[in-house]
Amino acid sequence: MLSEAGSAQWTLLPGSRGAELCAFINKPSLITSNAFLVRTPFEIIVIDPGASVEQKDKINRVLVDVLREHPRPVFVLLTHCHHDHSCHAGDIGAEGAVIKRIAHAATIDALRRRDAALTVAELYPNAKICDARFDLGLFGNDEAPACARSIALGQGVQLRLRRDAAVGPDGARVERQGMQLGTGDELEFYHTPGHSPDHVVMRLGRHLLVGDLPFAANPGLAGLAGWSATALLRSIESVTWLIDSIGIETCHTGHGRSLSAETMRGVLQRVHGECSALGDIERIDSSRVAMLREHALDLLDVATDLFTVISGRMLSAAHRLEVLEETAYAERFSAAMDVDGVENALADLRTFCATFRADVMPELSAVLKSTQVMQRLERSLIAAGELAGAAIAARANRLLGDFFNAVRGLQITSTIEIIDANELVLNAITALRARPAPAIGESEEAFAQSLGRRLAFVDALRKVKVEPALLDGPATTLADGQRALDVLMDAVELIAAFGADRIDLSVLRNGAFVDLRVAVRDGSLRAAIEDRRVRMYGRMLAVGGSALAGADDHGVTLRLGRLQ
Amino acid sequence: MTVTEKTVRGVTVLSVDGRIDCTVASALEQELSARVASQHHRVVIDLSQAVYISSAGFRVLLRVLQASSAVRGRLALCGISGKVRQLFELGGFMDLFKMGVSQEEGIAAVDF
Repeated sequence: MLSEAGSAQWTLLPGSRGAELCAFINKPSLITSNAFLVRTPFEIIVIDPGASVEQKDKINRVLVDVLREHPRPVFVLLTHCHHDHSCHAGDIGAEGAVIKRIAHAATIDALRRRDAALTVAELYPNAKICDARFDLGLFGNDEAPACARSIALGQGVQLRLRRDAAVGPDGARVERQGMQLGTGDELEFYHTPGHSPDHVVMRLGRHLLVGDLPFAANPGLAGLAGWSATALLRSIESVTWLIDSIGIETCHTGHGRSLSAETMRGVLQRVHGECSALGDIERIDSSRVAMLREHALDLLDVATDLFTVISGRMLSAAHRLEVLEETAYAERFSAAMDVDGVENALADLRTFCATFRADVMPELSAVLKSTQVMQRLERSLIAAGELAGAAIAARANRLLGDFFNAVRGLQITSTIEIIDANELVLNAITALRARPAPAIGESEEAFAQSLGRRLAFVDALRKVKVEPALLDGPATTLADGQRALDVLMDAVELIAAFGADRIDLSVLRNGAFVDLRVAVRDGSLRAAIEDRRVRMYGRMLAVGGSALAGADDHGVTLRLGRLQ
Repeated sequence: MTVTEKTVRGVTVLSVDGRIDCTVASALEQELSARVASQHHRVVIDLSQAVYISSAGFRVLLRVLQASSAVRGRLALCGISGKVRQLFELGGFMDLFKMGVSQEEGIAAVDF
C-alpha cells in the first residue's frame, strides 16, 4: 500500500527468495478491484490494475520510482476479464519500460472481442473495455500439456512458462502454469473457473491471490455472464486443497482486505455451502439489474416503515413492561431490534440511493448495498419475531425473502393452491384482531414473555368498521394464499391507521376471475398506501400467480386468479 | 428538522417539523428533555409539521415521556396526522401519550 506520504510500502513475501509485495487495497466496491505489485531485482509484476484512474496513476508512479533504481521488464497480469479488474491493463507503463501482458487465453479473447457480457462491462456506465495487446495466453487450448511457452523480453532474453497439472483434491487434475522469476521463484497460475470461465488464482511464495473467488456466490454476483455453480464448487475445492498442501499463509482478494489462510478456509467453506444451495439461477444482466434496482428502491421505503412499526411495538411493549416492573423483560424488548444499527444502515442506504449517479456508478452496486442492509434488517426482524411473536415480523421477512431470491436469481418459492377468497377475507379480519393469549399456568418466564407479546400486539382494527361483502356461491381460485393474505392485511392496516372509519372488503366475480377489493369511502386510499407500496403489492401477488388489478383513491383491487 | 417554542397559558408548546429519525434523534432528545426537566412541567409537542417518525424518534418520545414522569410533569402530543399517524397507530404509540388533534386540545390535555 501507499504510505500517507504517497510512497509505496513493500513487504517481503514469505516463502520467496526476496520478492516483495505492495498492495493497493480499496474499500470494497464494484468500481475497481484491489491491485497488487510484486517487485524483485529482475522484474515488476502488476496484478489486476483495476478500473480506477486514480489507482492506475498511483501504480504508474510506483513503477517510475522502482524503474528509476534500474530498468527491468514489467508484467501486467489479470486474474480474470471483469471490467473492474481489467479496465486499465493497457494503461500501465512508464517511459521506456518493457511491458508484457499475460492472462488466461479466454480473458484475452473476451477483451479482444469486446464482450460486454463476459467482461460485465455492460453493467458499468460508459465502460471502456481494455483493448491492449496481450503477449501470452495461459491455459490455451492450442498448447499441448507440459509444453513450455516463452515470451521474448528483448536482448535475447526469454521468459519461460511451464505448464503441467498437479494432483489435487480427490485425485483430480488441477491445471497450472508457472512463470520463472529472476530470483528463481516461480509465480504459479491455477485455472479456477466459476466466478467467470477464465478466472485464475496466482501463488507466489506462501501468498495466494484469489481474485473474486470469495464473493462468487454472493447475491448479485452469482449469475453474472459465464458464472457456473459446478465449476465454482470444483475451484473452491481446488483452492482449499492448494492452501493446505502448500502451506499458504496469506490470501489476497480482489476486493477488501487480505485474509489469513485460516480465515480464507472458512470463507471458502461458506461460499461452497452457498453455491451448493443455488442450483439453476437466472443470469444477471443490465435489464435484470435495472429491475432489481427498482425493486430495491421500493423495498427501502416499505422496509423502513415496517421496521419503524415493529420496533415501535417492541419499544412500546418495553415501556409498559417497565411500568409493570418487569424490568428484565423490558430490557430484552428494548434491545431486541438493534434500533440504532439498523436505522443507521437504512439511513445510509437512503443517502446512497439519493446521491447515486447512474452515469458514473454501476447500478449493481446499489442492488448489492441494498441486499447487505436488508440482510441486517432481516436478522433484526427474526429477533423481534422470536420475542414478540409478531405476525407482522413474519410478513416483513417474507417480503425481504422475495427480494433476496430475486437478487440471487432463484425461482421464488410460492405455494399455489386452491384457496377460498371468502375465507381469505374472514381470516384476514380474524388475524388482525387476534390478540396473543396469556400463558397462564406455565412458567413465570413463559408468562412474562406472553405478557410482552400481548403488550406488543396492536389491534389495527379497533377504531375502524370493517364490512366484508362475500361472494354468494363459490369463490375458489388458484393462488398463493399466504401472499394474498399478506397484501390484504397490510392494505387494511395501513388504511385503518391512516384514519379511515370504515373499510369495505368485497369478494367479486369479474368475468372468469375472482377479485378482492379493499375500498374506502373518503377517497384516502392513495394517501394511505403510497406508490411504492402499491408496486410491492403487485410484485408479491405476481409471485403467487395473482395480480394487482388496480389502485385509485377509493380502493385497491387484487385479482386473485381464475374462478375454479 | 427544527424545533420552535412558544408558551400558551403557561404551557410550553414545542413544534417539531421535518423528519424525526436517527440523524436528528440525539439533538432532539437533548432539546426536548431539557425543557421537560426544567421549570416547564407542562409541555405539548406539536407534530403537525413532522413528515416522518422512525424508531429512533419513537425512542426519543418515550425517553421524554419518562423524563416528564420523573418530575411529575405533564406531557401531551398533538397534530399527529397522515403518515406520522399511521406509524403511531401501527407502532402502538397512540395509547402511550395524552393526545390532542389540535394544539388547543393538546394544551387542554395538560392544562389542569
